[in-house]
Amino acid sequence: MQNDFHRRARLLIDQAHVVGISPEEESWLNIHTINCTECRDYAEITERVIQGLGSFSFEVDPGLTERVQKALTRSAEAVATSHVVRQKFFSGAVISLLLTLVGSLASWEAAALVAAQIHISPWTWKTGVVLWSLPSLCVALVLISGWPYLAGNSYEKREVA
Amino acid sequence: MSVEAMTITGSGDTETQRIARGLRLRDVALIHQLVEQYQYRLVRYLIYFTGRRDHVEDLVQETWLRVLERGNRYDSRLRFEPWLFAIARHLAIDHLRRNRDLSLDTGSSPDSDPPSEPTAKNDPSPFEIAARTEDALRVSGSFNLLLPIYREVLLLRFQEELSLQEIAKIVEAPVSTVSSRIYRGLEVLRSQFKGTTHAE
Repeated sequence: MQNDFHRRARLLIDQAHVVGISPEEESWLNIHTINCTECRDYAEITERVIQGLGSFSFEVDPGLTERVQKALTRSAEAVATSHVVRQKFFSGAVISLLLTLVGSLASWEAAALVAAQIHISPWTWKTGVVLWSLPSLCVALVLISGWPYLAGNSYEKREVA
Repeated sequence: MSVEAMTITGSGDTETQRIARGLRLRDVALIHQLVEQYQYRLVRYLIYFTGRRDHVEDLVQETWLRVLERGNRYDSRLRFEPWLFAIARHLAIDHLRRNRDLSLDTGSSPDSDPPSEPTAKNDPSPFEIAARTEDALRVSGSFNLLLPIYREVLLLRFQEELSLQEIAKIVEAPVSTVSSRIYRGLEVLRSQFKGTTHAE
């Protein structure tokens, strides 16, 4: 029975520091530790250990904060620059695609008109327009499909000076 | 228990909302402010976790760069410190694994694993160097021998005053496991503390 009291007291001592205990439990614990030297010592040592943990003071290089901030600034600038480049690249690719489509349409109409006047077979002039437009169309599509891969990782590790 | 450190700015935003917005916009001025505000605590956490001073500065810088890179993932409903420490923890684990210094845990029940590792004492540990009181010095010897998973929960609970739920999120373990680690860590430190007291 006594051992149960001690066990409970020690559990409450630990719980008081970790998760907290109810006022009733605190009251019971206070009464128990008044009469129990062992549990009172347990509580004192626990308190001293926790206080001891709070008494570490680490020295930090005063220049570290500044070096980190500089690295962050460089990194943010690199990302911003890369973002602008990617945006321009994407815009260029989209414009290229639109011009290709519009130009192909115009070429198709013009070729149809000319072919009718100079008696070129439909198969010939259509093949000609397609072959004429295909390269620029392919380039535009490749540029657009390759845009996501341009992002890469802009956050390069910066050496701490 | 921990107190939510939220202040209301003039615009009506809470502190965490202000931080979240700044991180999403990659506001360098805000991040610089965060670096100044949290630097010591970040350094302390990494020393506690790795148990060493070397490479901590590199890890600190990597952590902040990761904060900048992943700022849009910060959830303003949660405090900033747990998110920051979680990032630092992942980087520290990667670093320890690369250097094969890792002995975090064995993956089995925290009740059965020994919480400390036998290590030959050579140079003073960073905790012995940092101890400012006699009790801290008594604790430092055994503290350095504790596994990182025990050291970190003791720091996060008693120094950072995070809730068990917040700590559980950082260490990616259930709340019950976090509690067990804290109790076992205290148990080890207590027994060592009593041992050094009786020896005097």
